[in-house]
Amino acid sequence: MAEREVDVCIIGCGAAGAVLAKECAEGGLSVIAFDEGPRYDPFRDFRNDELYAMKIFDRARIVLDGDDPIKIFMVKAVGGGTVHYSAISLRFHESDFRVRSLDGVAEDWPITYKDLEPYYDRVERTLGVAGSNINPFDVPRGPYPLPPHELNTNSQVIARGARKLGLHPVPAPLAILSRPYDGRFPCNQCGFCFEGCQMTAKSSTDLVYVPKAEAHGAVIRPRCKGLRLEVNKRGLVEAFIYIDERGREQRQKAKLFIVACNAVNTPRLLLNSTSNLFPQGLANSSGLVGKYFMHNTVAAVFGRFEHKINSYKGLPQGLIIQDFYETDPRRGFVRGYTMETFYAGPITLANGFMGHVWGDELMDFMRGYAYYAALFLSGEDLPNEKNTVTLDPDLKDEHGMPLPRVTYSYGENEIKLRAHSIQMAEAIMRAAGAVKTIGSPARGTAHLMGTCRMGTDPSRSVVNPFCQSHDVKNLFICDGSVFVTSTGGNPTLTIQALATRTADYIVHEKANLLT
Amino acid sequence: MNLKLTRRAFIQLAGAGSTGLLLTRVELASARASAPSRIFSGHQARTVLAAAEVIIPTRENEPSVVDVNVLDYIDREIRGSSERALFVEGLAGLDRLAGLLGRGPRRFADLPAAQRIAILKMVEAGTLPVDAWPSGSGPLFFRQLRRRIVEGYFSSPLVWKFIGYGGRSQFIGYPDFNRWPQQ
Repeated sequence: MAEREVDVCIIGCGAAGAVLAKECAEGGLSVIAFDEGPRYDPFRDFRNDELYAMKIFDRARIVLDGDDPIKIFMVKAVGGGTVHYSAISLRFHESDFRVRSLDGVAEDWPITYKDLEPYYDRVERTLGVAGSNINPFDVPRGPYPLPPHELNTNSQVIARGARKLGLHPVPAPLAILSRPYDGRFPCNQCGFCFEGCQMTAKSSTDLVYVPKAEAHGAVIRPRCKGLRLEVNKRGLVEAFIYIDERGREQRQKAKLFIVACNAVNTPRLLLNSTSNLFPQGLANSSGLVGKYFMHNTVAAVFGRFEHKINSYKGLPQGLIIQDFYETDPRRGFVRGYTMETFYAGPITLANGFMGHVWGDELMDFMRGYAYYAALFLSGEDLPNEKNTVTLDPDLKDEHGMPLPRVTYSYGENEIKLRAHSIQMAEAIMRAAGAVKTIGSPARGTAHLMGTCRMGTDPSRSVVNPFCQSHDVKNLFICDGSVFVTSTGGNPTLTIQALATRTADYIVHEKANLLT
Repeated sequence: MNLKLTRRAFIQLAGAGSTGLLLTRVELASARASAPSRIFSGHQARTVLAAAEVIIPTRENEPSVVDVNVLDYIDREIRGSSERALFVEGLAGLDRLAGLLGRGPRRFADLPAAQRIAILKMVEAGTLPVDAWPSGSGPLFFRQLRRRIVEGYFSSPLVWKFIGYGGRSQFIGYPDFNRWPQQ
């Protein structure tokens, strides 16, 4: 069953893909969007159960390498990582786009904050982001679409400690409804954001963007696994080759293709799409596909209190602190980080954050489960050409496609930044009255960025400022891969804003692009 | 990276974790593994529990790995998966290491806790005599064993009550999320 040719074929229907599908379909284009994973029905498929969520979500087989191998989390599903994410929706700061100019490291983005600002506005309105304008470190901006959420006890205790130190704790801007919005229920503080939101209060893209895309005629195809893109003699992409839900190989033709599989699977698909014209993989004349892999430096600190806090109740990620977001030369490193409250179920703590200990040490920690406040530290990871996503030379998946291999080592700046973030988190805990602090060395990330970066110079970047491949005119790459720097925050809102901007460009330029 | 040890060095390392090599047969054993396993022999099941008891050591008034039936969880999880082979190989490996420790046949499940801990630490780190674990799967086995035991234990409502976790909260949520708990 070969599908008829469409205007736009989107590969990967997550944070970016679902946004692209909606915006392109609303712009009058015929759209088909594929995703490797299933399409979940929150009421039927999700449960308040961390073990169940681990089983349905974490299936990616990735080979880890480098001095600091980092465990990669991704959700294979329509909605992608937004099904599982904390929904912290931060805008990048103006400085984030100009790291080379300001700090002499990394690169500048070829776009500025002003280029993205209207798209941030649009995405926030579509998602129904709840937040407050009291953050002194936020970019100058209008009001959030919805008022902020109330803080749970964990966030309250951390806010108290941070204020004592003169810091500025503020409610996190969250793509989680604090009021009924767009036909969905508000959050009832059940505490299970990471397990898939049963209430549909969390604005994952499968709930917000996909129905709107379908209302405008887009076709969504779950459980289709991409193998490669085929090019014609003129060097344009002609077809997307995939295995459908019944295990049969299929071809999808389109006038324009957008790869949006995340910063690990996007380079994997491109590198696996070799041809006579493009022997080192598609869109890779620069040799930079798969290079400059970034995440956010991760650390977590638990503060043990004498009284119960019950941090598992309510929104775990209610509060952020951005006092250390911008560069301060006195700290001995450049760029910075965001502190975010968090908590998790006992298995996630015991197997993830405390996965390095067992026996008495593990049980001593776990006996205090109800007594911890916790901070998650998300820092800027500077781009390094040696941090890469490549095709594993030996290991293959069940369809014969090479597994992705992620090679990662922290640089000196990341190590200093991370150490500083841990010190500050410990200070906040002590100021709040913690009797002891415990750091977690756990290394895991779902913030995948930087393997097809954007730029104006085709020899130093993979896509142009509109996420169009320098090499192949009818190929766009639009997800965290195109990020030039990682920033000290969370990437999703910027991925969504970039996708909106890219779709706008495609719709506006359709006369030129869709020929 | 696997550190290769000589047999002698291994015995010294393992012995260091206990009160020396004077092994006295203590407690446990018979009380364990009452419910039959569908994928493990009686002895294998006993070995899993002997490891679980030192990975999740509990006090008298706390639910133990036996109370929450961790073995049954592992049974259900790894039945019919390739993980079972890893477990079977690993459990035999634990016995081989236990056998190296003293004279005569000796099995992991018969060792006192301190020696079981010492053996598991070496399996975790991969610092094993080559001939005791030829496939080199020790660290992977330990990771999976630890992971499954933790999953089985901390998914039990009995344990949730013990550590003060509320568990499932839909479709009411936690209405008291912003109020300080009664001490």
